[in-house]
Amino acid sequence: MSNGKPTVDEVVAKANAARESLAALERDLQEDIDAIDLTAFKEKRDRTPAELAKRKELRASQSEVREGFKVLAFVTAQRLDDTAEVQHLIRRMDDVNAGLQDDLDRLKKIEKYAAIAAKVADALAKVGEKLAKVAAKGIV
Amino acid sequence: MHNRGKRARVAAVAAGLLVLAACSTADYSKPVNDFAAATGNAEQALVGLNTEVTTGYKSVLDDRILGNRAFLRAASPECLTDSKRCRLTVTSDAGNEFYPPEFPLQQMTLLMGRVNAYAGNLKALLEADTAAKVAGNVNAALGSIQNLAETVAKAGGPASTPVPAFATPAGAAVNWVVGQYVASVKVKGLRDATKAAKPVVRDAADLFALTASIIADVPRSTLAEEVSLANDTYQNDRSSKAALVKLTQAAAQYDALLTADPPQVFKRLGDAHDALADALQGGDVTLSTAISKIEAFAAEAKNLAKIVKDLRALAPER
Repeated sequence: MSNGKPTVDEVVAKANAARESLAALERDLQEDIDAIDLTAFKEKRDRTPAELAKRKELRASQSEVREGFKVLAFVTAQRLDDTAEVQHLIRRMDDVNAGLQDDLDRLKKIEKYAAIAAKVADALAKVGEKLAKVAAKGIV
Repeated sequence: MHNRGKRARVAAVAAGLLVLAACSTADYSKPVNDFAAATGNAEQALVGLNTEVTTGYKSVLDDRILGNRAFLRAASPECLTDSKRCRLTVTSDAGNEFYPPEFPLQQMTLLMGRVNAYAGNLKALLEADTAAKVAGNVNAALGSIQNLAETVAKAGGPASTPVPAFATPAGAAVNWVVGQYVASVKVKGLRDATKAAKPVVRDAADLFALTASIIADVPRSTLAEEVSLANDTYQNDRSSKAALVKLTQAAAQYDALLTADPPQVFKRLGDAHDALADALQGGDVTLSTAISKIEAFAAEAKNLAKIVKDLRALAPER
């Protein structure tokens, strides 16, 4: 348990135990269904009303077991989503992204400084140009 | 003496820049772009699986409600005139819960979003056209200085020496140094980020793979039931060609899902990122190994995104 919440391992251990039971049940039901079909086939006859009724019952149980798989998957996904590990990973990923954002900001600063340097050079050059023109006219 | 020391320092800085930028950023463009695209597809696949498990669970609740095995009503005390919310709840042997069910993987979707954002940031870092922008500004500045020099030269009269076009070689030198520096910032950024992200992405990928293997039971049980239904029809009339074709198709559909192995895509996400990070650190893993792992991940992610989409079309919400 972490912060009162189950850990990923705990959630998975419980889910696996339940899943194994469901899988065993589904396999047993399928074996019984196949046995009814195969027996009639080997004996070259149609299935008897009793066999058909039994088969219908087995199939209904099998459908319920399959619903059980869906419920188990949904509940396990919910529990995994609620573990402290997921929150921890989100925070760690945020740190990594913040580092990358710093690098992108650094590159933007380089652009900004180059633009400022260009503006300063341009302004100084224009002032210098004016002074040079004045000097050429012999005013200074 | 003093000048020699300065020159040595400049040479050392330039050498440092060259070492840092030794592996060109261009070398990493394709693998990083491919990794980002594949991570986007993996995110789509996770969203698809999230929808799949919710739809599957809702169909179970629907059957219980419609089969009178669960009781549906407005949540108490909601859906009244002065209520702030209006939601429905299902009461069954399992207890009370909201209907329709909410997506179970809300936090994991956020986490996958962060991983996707990380892949996008790696791409953005490589694609930043800083050097080109800086070069534009440097050239503009040198252009102004060139004008100034020419004006000064004219002021000296016609006999004055022509002004050499110094802007081009000087600008090229400045741009080269800036370009090397920008490349070094990019490569160092990639190295640091992938190194820091390696254990996190690996843990996240393992968690997604585990979750996908659990969620995959929803489409598995749906398609297993489809095969059973087709088998029921076939066993009732083994001479029916239509029943035989339907059973064969249902089995093939289910087989395609089973062989696609949804968790595989997330395992490959972790493998591809590990290889990219290791290649950037200059360890045993080469860039070409990283590229091939990223390609395998990309192919798997695309495949799973398609399968999830097909599944949704196959089993529309009831």
